[in-house]
Amino acid sequence: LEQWIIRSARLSGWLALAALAGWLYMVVAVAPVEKIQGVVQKIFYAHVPCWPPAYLGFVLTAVGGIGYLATRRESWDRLALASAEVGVLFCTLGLITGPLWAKPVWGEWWVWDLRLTSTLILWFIYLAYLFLRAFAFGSDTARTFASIYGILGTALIPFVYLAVDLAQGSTMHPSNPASEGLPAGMQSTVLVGMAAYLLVFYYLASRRLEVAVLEAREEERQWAT
Amino acid sequence: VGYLIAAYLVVAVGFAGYAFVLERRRRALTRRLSLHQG
Repeated sequence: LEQWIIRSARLSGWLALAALAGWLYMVVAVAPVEKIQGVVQKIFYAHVPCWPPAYLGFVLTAVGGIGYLATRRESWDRLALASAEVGVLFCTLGLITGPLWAKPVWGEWWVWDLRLTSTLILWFIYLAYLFLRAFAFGSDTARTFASIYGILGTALIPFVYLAVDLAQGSTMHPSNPASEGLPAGMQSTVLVGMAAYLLVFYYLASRRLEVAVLEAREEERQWAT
Repeated sequence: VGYLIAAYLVVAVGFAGYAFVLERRRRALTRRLSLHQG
C-alpha cells in the first residue's frame, strides 16, 4: 500500500492543481459577494477547507500508531509521521487565515473562546508530536511512545469540533457543519475547496511518505557502513 | 481586500513552500542513495 501511495503522488499532484484552479475560479466567479461582510467574506473559502485535512491528518496519525503497535511494521509509523506533519500544516494555515478573517469582521485578531482555544491546544499537541519525532529519532521506544501519544491526541478532535455547540452561544463561530444552510453558490464553492484541499493533503502526505522511506534507507546505509 | 489577498497568499505560500521543501529533500536523498549504490 505504501508503494502504491508513493507511486500515485505525481498523478494526485496534477489532480490537486486542477482542483485548486477550479476552486479559485469558483471563489472569483461563482460564489456571491456576501451582503453584510462584503468581499472579505470570501476568506471563508480559504479558511474552512483547512479543517477536514487537518483532522484527517491527526486521525491518520492515530491509525498509523495503532497499526505500528499491532504489527511493529515501520511503514505504519511512517504513515503516522507523514500524516501528522501535513495535518499540522493545514492546522497552521487554518489558524492564520482565521484571524485574517476575524480582524475585519469581528474587530479582533483572536478571541479566547472554546473553539479557538481548543484548536490552538490541538495544534500545540501535534507540534509537540513533531518535535518528539525530530529529537527522538529512530528507536523502537520512541516510535512506541509517539504511537501512544498520537492515539491519545485524537481524543481532543471531537471536543474541538463540538466546541461551538458546547459553548452555547458564547462563541462567534457559526454552528456545525459550517456549509449547512448556505446559498447554492457558496455551498458548492466551499465543497469544491474541501475536495481540492483534500487532494493537496494526499499529494503532500504521499510525498512526505516517500521522503520518510528514503530517510529510512539512508539510515540503513549509514548503519551498514 | 488586503486581508482577503493575505489569506489566499498564506495558503498559496503554505502549499507551495512545503511542496518545494519536500521535493528538495526527496531529490537530495535520491541522489545520495544512488551515488552510494553506483
